[in-house]
Amino acid sequence: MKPLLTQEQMMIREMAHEFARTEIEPFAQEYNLKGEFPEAIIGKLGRLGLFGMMVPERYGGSEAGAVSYSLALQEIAYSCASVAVTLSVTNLTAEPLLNFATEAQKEKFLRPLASGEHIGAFALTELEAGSDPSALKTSAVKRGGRYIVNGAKQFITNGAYAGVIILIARTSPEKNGLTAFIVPKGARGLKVGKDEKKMGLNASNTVEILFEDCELPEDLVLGKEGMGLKIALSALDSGRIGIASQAVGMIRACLHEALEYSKERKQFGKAIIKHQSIRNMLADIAVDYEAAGLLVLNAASLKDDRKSLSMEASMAKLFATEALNRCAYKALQVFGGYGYTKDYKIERIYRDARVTTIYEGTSEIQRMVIARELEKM
Amino acid sequence: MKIAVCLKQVPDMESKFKIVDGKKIDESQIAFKINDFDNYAVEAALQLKEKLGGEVVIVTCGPDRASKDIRQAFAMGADWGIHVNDPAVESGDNFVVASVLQKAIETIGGVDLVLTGVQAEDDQAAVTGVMLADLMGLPHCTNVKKLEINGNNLTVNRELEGGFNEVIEMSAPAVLSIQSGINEPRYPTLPGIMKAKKKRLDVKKGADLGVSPKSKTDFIKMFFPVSEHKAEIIQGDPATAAAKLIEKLKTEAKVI
Repeated sequence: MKPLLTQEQMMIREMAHEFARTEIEPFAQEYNLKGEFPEAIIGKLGRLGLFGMMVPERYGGSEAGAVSYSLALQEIAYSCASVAVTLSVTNLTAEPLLNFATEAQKEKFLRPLASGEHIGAFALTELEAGSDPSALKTSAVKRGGRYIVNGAKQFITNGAYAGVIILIARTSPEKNGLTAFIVPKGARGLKVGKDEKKMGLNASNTVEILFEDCELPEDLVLGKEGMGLKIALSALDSGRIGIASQAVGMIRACLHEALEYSKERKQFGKAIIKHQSIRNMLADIAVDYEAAGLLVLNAASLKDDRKSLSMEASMAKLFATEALNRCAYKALQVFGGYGYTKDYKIERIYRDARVTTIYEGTSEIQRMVIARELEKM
Repeated sequence: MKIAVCLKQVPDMESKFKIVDGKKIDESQIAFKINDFDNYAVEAALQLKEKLGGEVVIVTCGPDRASKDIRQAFAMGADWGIHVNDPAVESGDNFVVASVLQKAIETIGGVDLVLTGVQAEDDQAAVTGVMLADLMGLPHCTNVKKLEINGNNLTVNRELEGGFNEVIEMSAPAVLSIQSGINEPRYPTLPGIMKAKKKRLDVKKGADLGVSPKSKTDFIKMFFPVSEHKAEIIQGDPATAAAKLIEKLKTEAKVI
């Protein structure tokens, strides 16, 4: 794939490539095996300006744009999908702050995020509210100049480490009576609950977030009361570009791992890459890589041009993550029994791949979005 | 302190190399990057600037594509640059490049220190820095592994064979060829990359600098070294095998 990139976009990709190969790749396996959050690596990424890639310079961001963001995430996901999702969620948290926060809130919460001081989290999902956010129950009751929040949020990426959390809570009983809040780290009544034991992405942090009579002054409301669902949905397109990019980087890793191994491994007197069945699998992975890469590039450049991209972002997310899962299956098949052991990176990729068709909108939700857009045509 | 850093863009050594007509490399499959040694020189210059103030100017000879890596150095923190983009210079040898660099650095004016990498990863000639110093009439040190500055006095460690260092004192202005490992080059930050396109880059031809040097060497051809698999295993017990080996070294190889 040789897309037409600007010099800055090429430089950003190159920097992310160098960083990932030197600072992430050699340590990724150990962090994942131990289930440890790579704080040192994340800190370095923040200082390089990768937390606020779509945030203007005046708020401490780098204003590099969505295409650059996608390219950087691909390079990082190639080496470690966990680091990529940490980064993706942080950039996603910046988006609603940029679009809906007051100037004072931006100074206080967006700037430190965009300039790499702390990571972000987005607390929407609950036990009974996954794909359908309007079912959420966490309540924020207004009392004087404050809101008292009670409830539990599920599967919150970066939850235990975030300097700022965007919370979506219910402020009135009607279906769309949701409001967004900015919750700073250490807010009273904010607790980190269960640390999820996951199938993959073991170097990323996924926790339950508990609100027990958590008091939030009203200047922490993001946007206006009742705008919660709108704010939650506005971040989705960037989130989908993020996860699609993560998947593209991981497909690239599948291709690389399978290709290198198939050239070295000999069976029936020749390198297995000389066997047609293996060649077919490699060819399929390579085609998926190119196709997924172009779809996400398309969605990202629409975002940079400020055009509507709901359908394209969903297409990229759906295709790239489904493609990743079949590619990881094939790449592991190329490795045979060795691929089933933790001695090989492909085993980790195979597990990390699985969640990509689930989070940031399941494949089923993406098809729903695409069909809804088609119907409008 | 005003520091000029000579920077060369080279092929990424992980690329697949193909030679066309025995004369040049097929660039279509090649990714280009900053010569690694020059990257250390850029970092050394930036560290001096951070300590002592002043500016860092990048000087490069190369075709259009080289501007990407000049801007890479800008993204790391260099202030501005001169890009000599001239096919006549491109086809010249190291002497031509050194002569052009000399003139380009003269146009900057008041340069206290010129830093180069020890060598380029591609041709590994390791002569441009030395030639440049000679042409500029300045003191020079190669293989610099450590650099301290006190006013105009430079104390440099020069790497020798076998892990030894030689400590040399010299005075600025001077030309230093920086060895890899002297520091840990920084990654360009994203804000740095975004600012790099706004920094000043003067594009020049050899004629603009009033120089049209002739190469001192002739380029004959380029080829991959042929690897020969000629090995003879001498059989037998150690004593007979050794005797046979000596016989062969005397009569066949005629080396003893």
